[in-house]
Amino acid sequence: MNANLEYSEDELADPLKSVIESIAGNKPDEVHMESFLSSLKDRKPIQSTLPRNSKSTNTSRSRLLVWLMSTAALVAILFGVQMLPTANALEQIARALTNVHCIKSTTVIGNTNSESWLVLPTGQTAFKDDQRIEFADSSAATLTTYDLRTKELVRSPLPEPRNSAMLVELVESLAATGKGNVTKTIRGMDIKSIKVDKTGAHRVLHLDLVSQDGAISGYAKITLQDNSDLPIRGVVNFSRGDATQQIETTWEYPTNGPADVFELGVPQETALIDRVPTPEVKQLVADVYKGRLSFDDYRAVVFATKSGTLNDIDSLEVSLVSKKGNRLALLRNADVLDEYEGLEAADVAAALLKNPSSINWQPATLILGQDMVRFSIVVANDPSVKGKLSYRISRNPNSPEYFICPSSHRVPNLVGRPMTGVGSNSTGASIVSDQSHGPEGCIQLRTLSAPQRASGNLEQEELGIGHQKTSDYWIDPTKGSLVIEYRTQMHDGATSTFTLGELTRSPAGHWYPKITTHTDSVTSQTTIYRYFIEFSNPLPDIMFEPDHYVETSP
Amino acid sequence: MSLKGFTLPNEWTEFVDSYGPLVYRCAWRILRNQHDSEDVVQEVFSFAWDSSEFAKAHNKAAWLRCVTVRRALNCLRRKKPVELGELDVAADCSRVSRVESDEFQTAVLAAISRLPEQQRVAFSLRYFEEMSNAEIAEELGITTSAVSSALHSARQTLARILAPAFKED
Repeated sequence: MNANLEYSEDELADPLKSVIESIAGNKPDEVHMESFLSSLKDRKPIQSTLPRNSKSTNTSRSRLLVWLMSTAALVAILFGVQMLPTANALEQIARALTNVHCIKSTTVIGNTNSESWLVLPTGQTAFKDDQRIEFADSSAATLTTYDLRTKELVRSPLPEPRNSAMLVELVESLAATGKGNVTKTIRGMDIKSIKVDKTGAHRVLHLDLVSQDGAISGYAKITLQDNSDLPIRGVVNFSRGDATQQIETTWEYPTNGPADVFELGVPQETALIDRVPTPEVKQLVADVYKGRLSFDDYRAVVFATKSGTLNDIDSLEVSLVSKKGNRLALLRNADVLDEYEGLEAADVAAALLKNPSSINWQPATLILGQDMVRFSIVVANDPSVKGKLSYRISRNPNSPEYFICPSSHRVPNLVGRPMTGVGSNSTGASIVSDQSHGPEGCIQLRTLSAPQRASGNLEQEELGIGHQKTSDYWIDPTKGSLVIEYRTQMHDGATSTFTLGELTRSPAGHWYPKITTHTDSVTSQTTIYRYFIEFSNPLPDIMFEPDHYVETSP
Repeated sequence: MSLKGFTLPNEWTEFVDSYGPLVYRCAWRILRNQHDSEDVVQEVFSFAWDSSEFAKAHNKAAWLRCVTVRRALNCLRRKKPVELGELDVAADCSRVSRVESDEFQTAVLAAISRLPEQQRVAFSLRYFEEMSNAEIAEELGITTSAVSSALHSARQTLARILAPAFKED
């Protein structure tokens, strides 16, 4: 007898309802998820400089617009001067900037105020809004942040890319201006037009800006100080589609800037959490990372299974991986050929390594130097054979650069060399001198990642935020600083452990895994990975070509 | 020297912080494996990061759920089709354990993934993500009655496809 599958309104009937509820209740391994998302955060866009569009992070949006406003102001200074009536206007402004000791900017966006300081002789900067107070010491390369919500005061390494690019662009633009060869683009915003007029007692710059993709346009009006040509106040309006944003900024030039965070209102008794890694920790982590992309070329077949045996072909996930110079190919296959059934895993691997084209691999990722190519696979009914599916592989457009390091246990040169988070402002690290357990002869590095907090309005449970995790890495200095074991423990005691078993050594002397095991305490699941590597024999060049995979396959 | 006031804020980190778990869990419910889920999460974040649609979305979480479900189902569709007859191996198990079994979930998800696009996305948003018909209508750009119609068609199709698998002993 068939079960009743009639439905009323939106209600599902059993037994389908039970299955659907069961599927809806599927939950990922939290440790894995946290680890992956953490690594994703480390792979932020390198080149994208345009404002992202989310309104869920008001602070970020505000600060980005502050930056845009400031950019507009600087651009106004740099380019507007060409049109000032006095021939030596540029020299006047340059001279004025040279004499300034400190620039204080106050920005108002809606009901939000923020202040920033730049002390020119020392390069020290400071920032303050309703959520945080920051002080950046460029000479010590440290950033000290006081979170006004948690009352935590943290010192971390100064993220250099955040602060250096603009300076570089500024200096280059000044130099170019001096040669009369002015670039009209800074950080993705093109200057469409500049006009100078005089309103009342002050000269005013009018700027039309547009992002290079045309999505964002802006109009800025900046008033200059009559006797110095320094900006004193400005208003900029940005629009993206129907959304608009107005920002007002005023500039002051005080004699002195703040000397530290305490001068900006942080209570003197606040304890400092120091997340600046020691030189020993930095060297240790640098040694671990060294092998990620710089060692041998190879081709490898990687098996993964949860069944506990590596000889059950049906239970295996098979990957083909190859590194050649600065190129990496990661290919996957859902179905192992029937003729391999009954063979030992090593025999299957040997056959695949010998003739990798015997299987229609599905491309997962290609890394080609600084570029990353990812693919989409679309399944459709095969018109030639009724009931048969075919799939079409196409290249994903605009593959962003932040996917340049795939987080995968399947890539031999990345296994045993995990990203530790050392150097980020949310991760503290120390070398454990009194080891109670772990592999013998290894150096134990422990990292403590601070809870992540989101600024959106989603439910805390859904976001999974506010969690702290501790990670231990046992690094073997005699095996090329390979991490022999790493274990992550969440706030609730859940653990995830990745252990390298047998190792192999390339002719060049570098160490790689042969077998690794990943265990998870939440799911009580163990995944075994087995690696078959042929060194100095990478896949043919054609298998690093994206077009090689873009085709309809049977 | 650095220009603190003139720098690009770290929006990416906050973006991932804000929506990463939501997107990851959404992908996992359908894909149930780490590798595919991570692929989909990366694709969704890549797409959303520079998407003007995301900028305009009134309900960011719903928009991300919709995109994630769509991509996860597409990912599922490229998998080897599951033969419903294979499920007979579980015939000696109790029905409760059967419907919770991985094979049954795989079969049902495969069946959902083979529905027409609007039906499969609407069905998944309704029953896996527990979104209302009005929310689904807004995300798909259709009327609520069209959502109801799509859900009705999906239920009927699934009932027909899955009837052999749900046959009681």
